[in-house]
Amino acid sequence: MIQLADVEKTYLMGETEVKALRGLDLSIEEGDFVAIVGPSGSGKSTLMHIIGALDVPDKGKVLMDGNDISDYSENELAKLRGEQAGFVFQTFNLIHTLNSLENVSLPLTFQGVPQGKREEKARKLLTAVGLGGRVGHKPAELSGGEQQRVAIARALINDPNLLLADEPTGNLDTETGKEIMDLLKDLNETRGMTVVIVTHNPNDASYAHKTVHIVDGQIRDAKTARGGS
Amino acid sequence: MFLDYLGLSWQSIKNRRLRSWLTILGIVIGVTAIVTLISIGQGVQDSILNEFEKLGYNTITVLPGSINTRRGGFSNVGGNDTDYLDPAVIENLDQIQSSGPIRTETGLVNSEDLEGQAFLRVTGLSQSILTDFEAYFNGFPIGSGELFSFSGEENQVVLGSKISEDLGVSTGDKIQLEGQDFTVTGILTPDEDSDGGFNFYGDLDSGLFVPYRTINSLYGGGMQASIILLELADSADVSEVADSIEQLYADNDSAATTITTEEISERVNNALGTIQIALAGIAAISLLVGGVGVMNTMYTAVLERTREIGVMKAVGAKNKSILNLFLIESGLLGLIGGIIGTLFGVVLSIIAGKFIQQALSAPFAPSFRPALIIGAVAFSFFLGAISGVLPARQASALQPVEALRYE
Repeated sequence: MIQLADVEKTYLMGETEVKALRGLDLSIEEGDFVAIVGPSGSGKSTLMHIIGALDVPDKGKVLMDGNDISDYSENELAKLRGEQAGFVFQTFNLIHTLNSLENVSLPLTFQGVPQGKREEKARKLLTAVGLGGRVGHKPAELSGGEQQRVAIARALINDPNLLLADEPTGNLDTETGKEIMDLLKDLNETRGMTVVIVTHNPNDASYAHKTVHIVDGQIRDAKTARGGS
Repeated sequence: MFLDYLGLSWQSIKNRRLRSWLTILGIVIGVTAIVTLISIGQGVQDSILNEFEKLGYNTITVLPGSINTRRGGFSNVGGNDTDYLDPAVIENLDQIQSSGPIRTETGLVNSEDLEGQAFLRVTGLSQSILTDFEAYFNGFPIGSGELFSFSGEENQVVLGSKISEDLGVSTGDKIQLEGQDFTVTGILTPDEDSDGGFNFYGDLDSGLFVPYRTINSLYGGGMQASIILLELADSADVSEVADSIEQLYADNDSAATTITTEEISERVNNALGTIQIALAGIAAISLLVGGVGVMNTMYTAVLERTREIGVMKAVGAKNKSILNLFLIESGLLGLIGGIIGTLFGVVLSIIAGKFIQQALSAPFAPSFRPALIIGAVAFSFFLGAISGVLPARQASALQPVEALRYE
């Protein structure tokens, strides 16, 4: 589904150049559950951004379903994200002026889906993640776990093939974190959704079929452990 | 899609209530000032045009002398000028529907109550003046008694209200004009509107009015006029007729100057228009400041919502979507300011109009043209949107990854 070949990415952090990825190869198959692990600053978030078409590499190729997206324009990337990818972030990144229903339906707003249709779908998804009674609540009125569920529902609204989660349990307690990971596992198993998570929590990583260990912008090793925890 | 963006923009305006209101206030002040100034200016223009309308646009005023030799101001031309016009010269112009000659003299007046003598203005009116040109004399309202007979067979006079008191006479009494006895047949009602309009007789309250025939026989020189008012046929070309009148007098070895209502109203209109543009220009500066306020608010919003913009981009918002979102938001700030400012402006100019009416003691109402109302609201929207262009472009150009990383 996704192939990265010799991908390099350097970005500026203030005045210093940071070599986030240094010639990295990776292949993700459809239906995979991949955990990207590694120490802080190893480039795992950058890798996830490139997999999720949020960013393009300076060098190398990114093939998504056989198409090289490394020279896509910003608009083409936005379209790709809007149609194929869903993102879940450590800090949830909900829009605090909007309620759960509006937050979840936001991606469809940018695709021009009419309000009735997108809210119907958002309501179903919120019910599916166990928040059917919280549709009118704003993020500030929800617990961390609830906010992350809203974020997951938002990531699912466009029926993506690929769900990307950057430290999805990083701001949650262990119990809630486990619930969220169970939810992701369920999506992978029952819907066949490809899930890529970035984490440095070994517990989270144990859910994955495949663990990609990154150090200094390169893959140290990649393990396949079918079956999960 | 537009409505969705409108909804999102509305949410974020609502969410930053105080800042939004302060920004809107900047626009409100500018729009209020512009709407007030223009509606009052337009009202002044309208009421002046209305005065001209009353006089009629198909009228010509003919004065003796050429424009270069005439001395003195407009209203006392007839009285001070020694030249006269012979109405017979233009008698045969067929575009003239009605001709109203007026002759003004300074007369020696005596009455029983008056100690000594007084030199007063005497105006001789032809009959057509009071049928076709009554607007020039505010309707010439007789308060007590009746109008003199235009035949001029008897010496009759109508007095202004003030002069009748000064002379200590009432209807039926006699006064002496140039040594001859005149019967006071009527006294005019006090003229409350003495400032309004143009007149050729000083003010109505202190005038002595006699028939045109009488003044001509009293002062001699044949049938002479100090001024002739002409009403033309509706189909007539006013300026063409005015030219031929001047030509006729020139051919007759005298000189005449014509003034058309159109000419005067055009000049007054131009002058008022210039003043209005200047005032609106000053008010526009405050609106501009309001626009800068919108820009400032939007730049702050872009900074504050950088992460939000990153999220929107992550979930598929294109650069254009973000641009539109911010433009709509700033346009909305302008629009709300415009609507409120227009309402305030309308209320303020109605209140100011009352004061103006009191100060002028003449009817006055500010004028609210649809173009002003719609223009003010639409302009505020565009001003808001334009002020948002730079911040919105900055927002739309943000890289999603960097925006998401922004703390």
